[in-house]
Amino acid sequence: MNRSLIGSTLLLAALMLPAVAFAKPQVTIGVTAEKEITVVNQGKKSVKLVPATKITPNEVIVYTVHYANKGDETATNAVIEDPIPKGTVYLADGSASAPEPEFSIDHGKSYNKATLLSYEMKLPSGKAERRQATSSDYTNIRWTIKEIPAGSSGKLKFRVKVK
Amino acid sequence: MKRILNLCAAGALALVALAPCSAHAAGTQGSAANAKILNVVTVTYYDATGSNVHQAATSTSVLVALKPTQLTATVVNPFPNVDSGTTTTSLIALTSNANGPDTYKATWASSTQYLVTPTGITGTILTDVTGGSSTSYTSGADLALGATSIVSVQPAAGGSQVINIPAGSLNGIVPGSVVVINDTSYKVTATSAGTQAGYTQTGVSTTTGTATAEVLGSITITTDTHGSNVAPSLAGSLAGMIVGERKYLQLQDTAVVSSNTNNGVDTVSIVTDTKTGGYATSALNDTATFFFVSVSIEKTVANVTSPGASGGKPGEVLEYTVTVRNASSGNAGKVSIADAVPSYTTLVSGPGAYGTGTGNLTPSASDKFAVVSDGTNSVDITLNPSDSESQTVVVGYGGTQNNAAVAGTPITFFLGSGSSSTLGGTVAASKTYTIKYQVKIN
Repeated sequence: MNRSLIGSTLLLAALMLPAVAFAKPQVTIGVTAEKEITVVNQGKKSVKLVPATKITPNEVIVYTVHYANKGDETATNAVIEDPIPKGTVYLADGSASAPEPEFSIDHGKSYNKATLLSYEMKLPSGKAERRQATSSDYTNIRWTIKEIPAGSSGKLKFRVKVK
Repeated sequence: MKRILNLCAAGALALVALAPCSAHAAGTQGSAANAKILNVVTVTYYDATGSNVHQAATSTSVLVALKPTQLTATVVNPFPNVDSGTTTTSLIALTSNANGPDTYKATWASSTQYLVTPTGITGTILTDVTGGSSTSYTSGADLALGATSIVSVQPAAGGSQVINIPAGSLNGIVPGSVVVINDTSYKVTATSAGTQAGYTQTGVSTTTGTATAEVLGSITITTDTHGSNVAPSLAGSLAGMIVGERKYLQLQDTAVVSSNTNNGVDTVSIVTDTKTGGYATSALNDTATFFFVSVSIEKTVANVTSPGASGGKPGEVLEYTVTVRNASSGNAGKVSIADAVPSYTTLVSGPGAYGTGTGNLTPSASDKFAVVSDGTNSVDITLNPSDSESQTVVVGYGGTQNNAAVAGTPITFFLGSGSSSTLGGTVAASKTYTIKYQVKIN
């Protein structure tokens, strides 16, 4: 009964939008917070990631952003944007996942590659001096993914230190 | 601007933001426990045609955990030196240096010299030096201290200042608490918990959610008149600086000195730690000194009728002088002297001042027979032991059994400030009292 009703609705919709058909990308997003703990097993040290619900100042949170295209069409120009959480500092230790992220130091108004980020600083004399932005200046991180084909997924990681 | 244009021409677009220098100079000690670290991630994407835009967002949050830290323990008022048998009180400030609330313990141990053991030490936790609440405390019991850390400070006004803290991180600090920021103590007059940031979407999400902005918590501080006594004027980049609660441990030590040549000493050693352990402070020594008491007594006699005579004949009058000297640093309490009318003599007494009476076997109860002096003031003592001797400054009391004057009659004196007709008073350190009375040889 239900099936036939859906079938007729689909048919009706198909008649109304014949060009697009029903193909549509649908990107899901998830994020997890984990912390690194050192496990000693038979005298050998290894670093393990465990879910972080509580974290002590100066500890590192590893954020993993999971994305997946559950639709039936390629998603294009996907931009995954993440403000660096309040109370944390971005860690530039080469741990951010590919593709190369871009950073903002003005709360997302503008972004650039890490090596090209600089800011002007007012000196006591009133003169402005240009300085290279450091990772502690970053307010946002973003990744641009040209295409997420239907059915594909990926993950992006970055690390922050709790102030 | 010229430089930016040049960079553009070179094909390397530099991002420009004007930032004040101070934003890059924060010396942080740590985020407050229970502060919420909220991460919201958003994906924006297009369909294959590049014309229809979609968004999905989700969030995850982590709470800042307590970082256990040693307390700071400081003796504010050491034990003042006191008399044997009395109580001395000291005050120790215990200040949290953690980023959140924790349970601590303070333990103490005595090391005594010249004291009758065991000595009795009782503890009390005070929320302020005066005017706060007080709770009885035993060595090693639980002691809760709150703490948080600063996000920013508002300008000070009218002797008080508002400190912004992460929402949800009051962490046990309440109005009336004493808090320490950068080694200066302040009194808390008001608090507000604020509202933590939130985002409705969590887990795997296909849509965007609704964000709740954080409303910071706040603590209003004012001058701690019993502590640093400084009006708050915090300024600059103080993000992460600890706001630690301070409570006071009051110790009361009571002990009796076992020596009459040495002061008794109770060295009280205080150690603090977190309840779970591992953050012990080094021992703090607070020394209580109890004065030993040593009173000497001497009795001399002189012939009043024949001055210089080594003895006496019947009918002659002898004067006895009893000297009570406290040569120690402690005050002697409840000092009383027991004497008796010497054999073959009759106590000299009379209605006038001391020394004007005669040896009379049946004197009146109100007749005066002795004089007591503390070196400055003196009082004539009547035979009746239960009457109130006439004196403005209390020097002493005394009398004879049954108001009698015959040989062998017990004589009692009660000396010192606070004495009465039934109880001895205090002969203060380095004070000397003299008692004089006369007898006639039968």
